Amino acid sequence: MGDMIKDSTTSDVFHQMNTRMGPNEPVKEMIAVHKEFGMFSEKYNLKQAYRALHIAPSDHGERRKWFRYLDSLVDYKSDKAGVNGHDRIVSALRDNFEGSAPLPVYWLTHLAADDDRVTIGRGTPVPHERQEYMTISLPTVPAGESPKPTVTAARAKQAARKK
Amino acid sequence: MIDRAAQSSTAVPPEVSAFENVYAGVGDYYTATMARYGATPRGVDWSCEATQFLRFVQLLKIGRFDVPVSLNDLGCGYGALAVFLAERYPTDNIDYLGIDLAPVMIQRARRRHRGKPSIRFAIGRSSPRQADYTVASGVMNVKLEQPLDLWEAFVRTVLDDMHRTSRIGFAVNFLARPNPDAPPGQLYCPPPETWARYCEQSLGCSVEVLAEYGMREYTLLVRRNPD
Repeated sequence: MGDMIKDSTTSDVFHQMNTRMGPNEPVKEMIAVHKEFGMFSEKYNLKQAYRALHIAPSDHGERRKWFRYLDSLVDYKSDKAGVNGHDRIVSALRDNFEGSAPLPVYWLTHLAADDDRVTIGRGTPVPHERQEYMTISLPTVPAGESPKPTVTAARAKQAARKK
Repeated sequence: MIDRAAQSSTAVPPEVSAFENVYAGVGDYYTATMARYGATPRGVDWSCEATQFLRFVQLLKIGRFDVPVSLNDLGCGYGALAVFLAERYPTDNIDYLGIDLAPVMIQRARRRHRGKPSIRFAIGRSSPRQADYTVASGVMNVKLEQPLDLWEAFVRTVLDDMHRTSRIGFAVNFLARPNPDAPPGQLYCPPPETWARYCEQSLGCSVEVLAEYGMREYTLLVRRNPD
């Protein structure tokens, strides 16, 4: 997302997530899988769950980056105090799938400049549908706009060594 | 002039001959998916490991697998069920035989489970041995271009074979509805009562239908009645 994975990969995996957790049969399948294997729980991290669900970029070259991105969500803040972005997503999915009236899940992004936290909500994010969803929104910085402090620092160090 | 008597004594019955095409079509189809996706759930036409394992959970409701038992896995692919069994029942209680008609599948399966004496594989169309149970996951779903009556004759043959090679019972799944992405007419989606009735009336078994487990399919658990 942003600089971490290609924009085309973001579209690809978001489409997969929204299809696999979408209304009717898909969300029923996800609930059944979760109830049988505890897919979204402390037993597995998101990377392991998504590997088992085969939610991964079609572009093989991007897979490692995608799974690294999922791991990096532990460094994100969330809308729940003291809970990181990764754990917030896992617990929100678990609570939804184990609840008495589980909703389909809709994944989207928002600008980190507006809110740098992973946020969970419910609403009707698809304008042409009246379907209510649980929404999971991930903060993103558009490609090329992130400061990349580590890369910049490494290049400066390399340049200094050459001198 | 045609010698009709000689012809009838040497000719292969039309159904058997037609099955050659069915088996060849199925074998080619799965060999191609394996070549494309490798030894993964997609290589045997399932969407992911999680849903593949959810199917195994249903099939294994046919019996108890925490006690010594023998199991045939018809259409075993690359041996994913053996992996699942090892995770769920870590003891070596299960005498497992995987059977598949595609040599490439058996080759992958043997490589994957090398050095495990209780897990064996064989190339074939039906099990070469009788076991306590037989399971088959997804073997009757991909009809491709075969005529419906021929495909149903094939299904009957497979069910008869599973019955013959199972001492206690067998389990098999069928698609209830086609996946919207699938080309029309290529998947076989019979109503549950079609083959449940066949197993009860023609094979003399008790049948339990498992449905509504979150997937576009159902599972038949077919148990022999006590004599």
